[in-house]
Amino acid sequence: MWILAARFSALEGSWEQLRGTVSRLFDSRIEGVDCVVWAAVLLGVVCGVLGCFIVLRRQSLLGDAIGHSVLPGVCLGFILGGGRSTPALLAGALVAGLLATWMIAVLQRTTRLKSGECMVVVFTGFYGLGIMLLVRAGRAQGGSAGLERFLFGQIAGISLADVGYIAGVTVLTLGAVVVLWRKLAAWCFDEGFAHGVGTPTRTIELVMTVLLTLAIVISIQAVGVVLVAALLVTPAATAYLLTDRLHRMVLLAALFGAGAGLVGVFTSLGLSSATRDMPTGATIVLTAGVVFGLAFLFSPRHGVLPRLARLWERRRRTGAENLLKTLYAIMENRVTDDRRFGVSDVASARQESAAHVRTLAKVARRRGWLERAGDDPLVLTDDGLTEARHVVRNHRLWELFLTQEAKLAADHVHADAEYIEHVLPRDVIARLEQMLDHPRADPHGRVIPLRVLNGAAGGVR
Amino acid sequence: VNTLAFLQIFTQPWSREDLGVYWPILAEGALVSVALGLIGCFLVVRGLSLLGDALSHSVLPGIVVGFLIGGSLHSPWILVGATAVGMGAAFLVQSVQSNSRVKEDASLGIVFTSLFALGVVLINLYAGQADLDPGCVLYGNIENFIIDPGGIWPMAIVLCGVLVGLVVFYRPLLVSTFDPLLARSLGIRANWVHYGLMAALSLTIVTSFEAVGAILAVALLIMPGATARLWTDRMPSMLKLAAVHAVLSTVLGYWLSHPAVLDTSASGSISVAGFGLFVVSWLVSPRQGVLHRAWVRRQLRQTVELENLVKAVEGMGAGATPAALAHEAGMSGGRMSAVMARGVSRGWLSREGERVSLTDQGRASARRLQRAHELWEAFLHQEVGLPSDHVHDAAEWIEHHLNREKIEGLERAVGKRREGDAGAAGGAPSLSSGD
Repeated sequence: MWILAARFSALEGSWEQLRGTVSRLFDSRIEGVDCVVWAAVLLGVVCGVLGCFIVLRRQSLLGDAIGHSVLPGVCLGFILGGGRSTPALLAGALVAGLLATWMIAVLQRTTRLKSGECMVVVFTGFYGLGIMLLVRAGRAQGGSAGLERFLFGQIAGISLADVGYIAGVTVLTLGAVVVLWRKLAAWCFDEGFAHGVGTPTRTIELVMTVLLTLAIVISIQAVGVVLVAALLVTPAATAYLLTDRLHRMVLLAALFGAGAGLVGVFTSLGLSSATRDMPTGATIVLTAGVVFGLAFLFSPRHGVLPRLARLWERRRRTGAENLLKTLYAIMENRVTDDRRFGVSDVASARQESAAHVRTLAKVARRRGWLERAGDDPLVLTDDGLTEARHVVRNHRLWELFLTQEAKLAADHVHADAEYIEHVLPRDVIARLEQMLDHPRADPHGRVIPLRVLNGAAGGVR
Repeated sequence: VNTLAFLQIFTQPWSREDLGVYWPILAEGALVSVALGLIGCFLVVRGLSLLGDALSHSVLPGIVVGFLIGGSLHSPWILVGATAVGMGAAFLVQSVQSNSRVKEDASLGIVFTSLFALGVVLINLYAGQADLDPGCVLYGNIENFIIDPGGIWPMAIVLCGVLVGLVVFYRPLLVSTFDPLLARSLGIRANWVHYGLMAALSLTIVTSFEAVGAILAVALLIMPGATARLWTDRMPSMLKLAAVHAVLSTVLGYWLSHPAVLDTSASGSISVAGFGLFVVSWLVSPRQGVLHRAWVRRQLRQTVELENLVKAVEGMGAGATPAALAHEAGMSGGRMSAVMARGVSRGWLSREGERVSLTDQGRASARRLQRAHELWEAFLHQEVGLPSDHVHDAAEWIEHHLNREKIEGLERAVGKRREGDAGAAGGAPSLSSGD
């Protein structure tokens, strides 16, 4: 117990230390690092959680559309609210976001334009309006009106009150997600089913649209309208690559969102200097994108590289199994139970080069199927013989199945069996045996090896 | 004096002096919007608008790198960098969606936001060394061309290229868009057409970057095509209408952004004008327009009301008074008089004081409705096999929609069975002859 406590206090100590360093680094430009850190973490959590649902519903670009569309609302709120009134900004953005969403839905219903077109037309129109207001406000004040930070995000100026709004939306969103959990899950995966069992899908959709707009609205100060979509989509898609369960996906997405927020904020602060302001939005989104790239490459189940590795492994195993089959066939033609083979004999039987046979033999040896003995390099072990019988048995059972049950000609079944022998699972074999009434010979008259229950393999007969 | 100042809003942007200064905005705006709008038509009908959106965001890092190498927005390195990154983005989107469970929408969203963020980071990293303004990315700076009208030339050349490409490759584009199988049988390579279109798009977006930036380019790309789509189904007229939309929105946008009017960003105003034209088209276009559809619904409602009235008068015979008819239809007296007035003006009803009666024409209509009603009931009963007490409501609704041709078809369908049954249709609703 005391070890744990000591660890914890040490951790706390190092956190204090880190915070102290960071505060000292950036105190000149921001009021409190606490605000920025909290804002980045909470935004990451909210957007990550909500993003899961839109990614699963394949509406990822809705976030992009709403993000661009809130710009005129932000500008109006900025102008009418006198510049620094966060409630005015939030209200303007919320109205613009909901109006755009409504318009997209109406266009989809009443015209024959595809949903993509409807989205693009509406959000670029709204965005253009925002740009008009923005440039107008800028020229009226003779220079930048401080609105630029809403385009790419500048988290440094965030105040304690802003963090309060962000925390409010976080509580609201997480509460709604927990309360509506089952309904949301049904709505995401099978809307028709959800509707059928009496889930109020239209209400859910409305609630989610409002939450989504709120999340985007509180994010624009930190991330900017252009890139806010990424905060929703990228962490959620990253989590989607790592798990198949919704609750884990939501938790992971929140984690990735918060992580990208933190790393992005500190990168942005680190890259900023007296002469340049590195927008927080860009660094956060770039961080999230890099994390997604890593998951895309290395995710255990869905990653590209593990899948390639599995493919490679499967190919090597198939090669080794085919080698065992050749050895078994040679043994079938022998009078004795000799388990020693010359490489050149095997190579000529397989019509391959001796070098290739040696490569395959190396793979088989690593699996304990072959062993080295004197000058004759290939000696079948007990395990190897069991495996060889297993594969040959699969092959001949499948050939028999194809000729007897699928009524294929006996000379048309080899290629198919050659392919499937490596992947037949145990229960399918059992059913094949039952269906074919425990046969002794394949369609070509060759003996089907018996199943071996323990490791003590006999000969080929 | 006030009126004069107000009128100036309309006259001053078009005065000789102002046009002499601001003509490059109009020229460059029109060139950019027509070139993007023509390409956009094909994106719209191919359902690729979101890819266009993604591509225009993605080319940013290529533009920045090209700019840093070449040192100006007119350097050829920008073309190289942007085209390379654009093609790379298209490839990445494709590879993410085909190599993982992430679907097309999310894959687009991730790739283009990441690349765009990379571009923004690069711009800000080198902001001190290069004269590339983040604002330019967001809304361009078409006003630059006032100072440097020669900068219009590249866009003019690109537009010519787009037009020539359109004329030369019109058939492959058209066929591969609407009938990919036919295209294959004609030996047209759909993949080449697709990547050719993407290359043309990247080139046009890059060239228009200085004028409208990366995001408003999407507006100019999709809005003309989407607006034209609301008016027509034919590709040639769609292309022409898109060009008209592009020019009109440039003119309107120039006017809106003029210092005497709103004094704001010209590229933003052009997009907003384009959006305005889209909304107007959505309201008034024939067939798909909201107003037209409302009008059609109104016409239908009036016809149904009138036809129901005619049936009611026929049913009441001599006892038909406005009050009784209103009671029967569940309408207020005022509304019933309006319906009756339409019946009189159409020549179906005659009204003398409290007496309402049918004209010959009205009687013919009533009989036609009655016949349509009974035929449909018989059809549902005999051919579909519904019980005879379940067919009235459906017939009540459909009788207003059956024209002469359909009635004759029904007569044949129902009559054939009738002959086969040889008068054994005891339970079926009776059929009265139409004449």
